Amino acid sequence: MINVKKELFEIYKYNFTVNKKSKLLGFIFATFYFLFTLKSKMQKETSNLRGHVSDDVYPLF
Amino acid sequence: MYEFDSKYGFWGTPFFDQLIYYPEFDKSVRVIHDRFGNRSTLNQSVCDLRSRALFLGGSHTWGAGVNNNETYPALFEAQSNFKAVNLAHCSMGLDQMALVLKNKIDALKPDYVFLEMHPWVVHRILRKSAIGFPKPYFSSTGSYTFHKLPRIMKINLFRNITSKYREFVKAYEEYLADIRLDSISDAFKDPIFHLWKMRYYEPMYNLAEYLFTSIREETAKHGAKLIVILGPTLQELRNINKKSELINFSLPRNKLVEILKKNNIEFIDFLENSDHFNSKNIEEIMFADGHLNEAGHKVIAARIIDKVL
Repeated sequence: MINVKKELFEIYKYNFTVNKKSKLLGFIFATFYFLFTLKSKMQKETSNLRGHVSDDVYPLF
Repeated sequence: MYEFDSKYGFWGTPFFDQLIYYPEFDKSVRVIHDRFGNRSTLNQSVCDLRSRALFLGGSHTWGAGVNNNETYPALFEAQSNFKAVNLAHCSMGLDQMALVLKNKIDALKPDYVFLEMHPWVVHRILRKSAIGFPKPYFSSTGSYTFHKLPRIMKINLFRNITSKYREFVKAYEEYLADIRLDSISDAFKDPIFHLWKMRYYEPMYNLAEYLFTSIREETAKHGAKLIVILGPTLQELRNINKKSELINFSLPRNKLVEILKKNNIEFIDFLENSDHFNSKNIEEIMFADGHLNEAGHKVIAARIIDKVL
């Protein structure tokens, strides 16, 4: 499972501590970016889980 | 000087003619764009039966800080029997150059296509917006996908918002990779020269290779000859004698040379046989900000003439 709280915290932290441009605009962008990328992140997570059971991941075993 | 273009993101304003003062060079130059928005020479006529040479590139080829007739495409035209068509514009990336070539090669029917990029600007293919305009871009998910600009970008408000959003996303994704482009105070901090950042930039070089091969195929299909010009990069020349095992100012140049050799693409490497230029006398060919001055344009024109004629 992707950690929604952690992902959101990370991007908001970036906006309010690192981003030197408008914080309000950055906050809106951060929210949109999070929502836009959520689906692809979840798909990636699923494919990683599928890969986890494959022998290719740990060929030494 | 520049306006929105739905194919390339931005393009030169047609019939632009102004004396522009560049504070960084402390000089004024007359910038003239022809009816197509290109920086043309003053003696250009509509019916010209000479063989054509197309010039693609960024601000070096466009001629930042020099007059129209002092740019190296204009000098090449003056010293050869070719009609030089300067299709370069400031801040153009290799991806945009590929699109320009694809769209214009049929109509212009060139004999030569010169593509200039000083190696550091290879990073421009990672951008999804430039000089305040959203631009088309390529992404990779196994194979390369081209993302053209949506029609809604014709509306100024959406264009501005999209451009700012794309800048935010790029900066955030770089931040996640421990890259902070806004805090680069000198060339030593530029991650494109850091060997330990190569893993991050590897997909960029792969995309550059894909674009170079696409350009090569397009020119070959139209019977034109492609020559890539790897121009001088300020950071590289300034630190030419400073060797480090972890920071290599020639890293982008070496990577591009490797790509061009691998794909049998002809190129002119400015630093090859250019021992004359070093950290002490770079002002002979460059302004302080790294753009070519009048003498620098003459050097490039001479190198092209040596290669072609």
